[in-house]
Amino acid sequence: MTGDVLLHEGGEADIYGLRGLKENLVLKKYKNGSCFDRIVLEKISICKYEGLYHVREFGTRDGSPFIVYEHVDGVTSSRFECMPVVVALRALRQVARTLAALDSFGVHHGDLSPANVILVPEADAFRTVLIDFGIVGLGALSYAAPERFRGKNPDARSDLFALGMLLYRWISGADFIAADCSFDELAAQMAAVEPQKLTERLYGTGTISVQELSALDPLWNGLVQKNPEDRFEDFDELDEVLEIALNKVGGGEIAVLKAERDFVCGALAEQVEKMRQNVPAVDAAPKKTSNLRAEGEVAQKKFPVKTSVFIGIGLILLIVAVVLVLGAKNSGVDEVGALVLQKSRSLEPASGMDVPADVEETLADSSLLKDLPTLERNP
Amino acid sequence: MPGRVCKIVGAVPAVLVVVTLCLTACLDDFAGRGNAALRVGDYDRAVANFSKALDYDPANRDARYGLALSYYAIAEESEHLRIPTFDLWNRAVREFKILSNIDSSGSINANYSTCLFYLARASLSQNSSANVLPLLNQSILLDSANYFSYNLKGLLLGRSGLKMDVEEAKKIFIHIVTHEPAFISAYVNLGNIYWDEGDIESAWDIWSMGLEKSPNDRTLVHWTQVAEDSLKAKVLSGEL
Repeated sequence: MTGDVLLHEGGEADIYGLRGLKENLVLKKYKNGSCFDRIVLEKISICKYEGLYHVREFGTRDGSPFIVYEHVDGVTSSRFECMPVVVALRALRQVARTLAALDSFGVHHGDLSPANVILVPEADAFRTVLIDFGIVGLGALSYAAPERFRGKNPDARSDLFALGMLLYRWISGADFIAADCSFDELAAQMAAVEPQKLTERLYGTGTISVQELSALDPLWNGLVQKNPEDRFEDFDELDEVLEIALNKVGGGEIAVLKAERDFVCGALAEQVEKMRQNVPAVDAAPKKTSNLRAEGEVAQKKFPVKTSVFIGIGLILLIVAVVLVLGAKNSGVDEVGALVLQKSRSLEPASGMDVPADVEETLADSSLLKDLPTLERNP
Repeated sequence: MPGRVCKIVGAVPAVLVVVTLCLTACLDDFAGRGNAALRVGDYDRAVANFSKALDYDPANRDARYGLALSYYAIAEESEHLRIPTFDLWNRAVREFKILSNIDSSGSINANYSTCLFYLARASLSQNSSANVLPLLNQSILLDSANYFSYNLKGLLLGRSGLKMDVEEAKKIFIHIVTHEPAFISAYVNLGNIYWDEGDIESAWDIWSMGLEKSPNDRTLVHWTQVAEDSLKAKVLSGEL
C-alpha cells in the first residue's frame, strides 16, 4: 500500500482508502465501541458474488475492530436524489438476487440503505454491489423493519421490508419516514406503515405516472407490511414480482435497456465524475421532474419529425395490441380453471379418478376434499 | 435523400408490427400448448410451456394462471396417490400469490382459495399441531363459498377444547349445512361435537338430517343408529 486517505468520518467508524500498486482497498475502522458480527463476516469473506463486496481481512487491531475490503469503483445510491422507476426496479432486482444467494448461507444484511448499495457503471449498464454486512445493532433507522425495533435479529423478511423503504427512497428521492425523532416515535411510525400510504405519497409527488403507481402496488404490498408473515416469502418471490412490475412500466426489454443506458450515461456518469472531483452529491443531484421536463423540451424542439413518427408507431402498435388482445381473449385457461375447481369441489363420489387399484380401496368414497381428518370418537 | 428517409421511416412501423405479431404469436403458441397439455393431464409439458410463455412476458396473466393450475393439478394428483404434498401445495400457493398481483379481477379466487385449503391440510398432515387457521381464514376470505375450508376450520376449533372455540365450530358447521345441505361431513362433525358434549338428542337430530341427504353414507348410518339406540336405552332406564 502506498498510502491511505480518510474517505469518510462517521460516528460508528472511519473509512480510509488504501491505494496500492495493483489494487485499491478500503479500510473500515470501527470506533466508540462499535463492532461487527464476526460470523457474518466469516461467511461473506468466502463468498465471491458479483453483487457483493469482497472482504479481504477483518479482525481487531489496537483494540479497534477493522475490516479491509476491495474498493468498489462506483458511487453509492445515496448520491442520487431520485431514480427513474425502471432504473430503481432494475437496481432492486440485482440487490434482491444478491440477497437471495446469501440467504441460502443464512446471511442477512440487516442495514440496507442507499449508502450501502453501490452502483458500478459497466459500459451501457450498471451493476449493484452491496457493502457493509455484519451490522451489530439497528443500522439506518429509516429502513429498519418494525420487528427490528423490538430487538429481533435481521432475517430475510426484515431485509425485504428494508428493500421496500429503499425502493421508495430511490424513486421519490426522500425517506418515507425521516429519522428525525426519538427512537420510540420512530418505532411507532414504522409500525404504522401501510403499503397504501406509500402509493398515496408517491401519487402526491406528481412525478410518478398512474401506470407506474399501479405496477409498484404489489411490491409495496409484499415488502412494507408490519407483520413479517405478510411480506414476500423470500427474495425469489420478490424477483418474480419485480419482473412483472418491470414488464408493466418498462415498455419492453429494449425500452428498459435504453432507460438504463440513459441513466448510466447521464446521472450515473455525472455522479461518478463528481465523486472523482470530490464534489458533494447533494448539490449535484438533478431534480428528476425538472430534468425530465427540460429533456422533453429539448427533444421536442430538436426532433419534431421524430416525435410525430414515434407517435404514429405508438398508435399503430396500440391498434395491433387491441386487435391481438381481442383476438386472443379466450386462451381457454379460465375454462380449464373452472373444470379444475369443479373437479376439486365435487361433492359427488369421485368414481372416475385415475387411482391405482391397490390405492383405490384406501380412498374415501367421495372427493378428496371431503376426506377430512374426522375426529376420533369413543361412543 | 429525403425520399430514402421517408422510406425508412415508413418501414419502421411495418417492421415493428411484424415483430410484435411474431412475438405475440409465439407467446400465444406457448400458452396455447400449455393449455392443451393441461387439459389432457400432461402437467410437466404444461409447466414447461407456460414457463416459456412467461419468459417472454412475465405479466402474461393466462400463462401465469396456467402455470398455477398446472402446479395445482400436479399436487392434486399426488393427493390421489397419497404422496406427501406439502411442498407441492406450497409451490402452487406461491404461484397463485404471484398471480394475484397481476389479476385482481377475482376470477382466480376460488381456485386460490381451494389451493390454500389443500396447503392447510397438507401442513396438518406434516405436523398435526401446525397453526393453519390463518391459511383457512385467507381461503375463506377469498371465497366465502369454500365450505371445505370452513369445515376444516370447524374441525380444528372443535378439537381445541376451549368452550368458545367449540361454540364457534358449531356455528361454522351450522353455517355449512344451511348453505350447502349436500356437504355431508359437516353433519358428521357437528353431530360429533354434540355427542362429545353428551347431547345425544341433538347429535341424533343432526346425523339424521345428514342421513336424509345421504342415505347410503356408512358413517351416518352407523352413528345415527348408535345415537338412536342410546336414546332408546335412556328412555327405558327412565333417564328421558
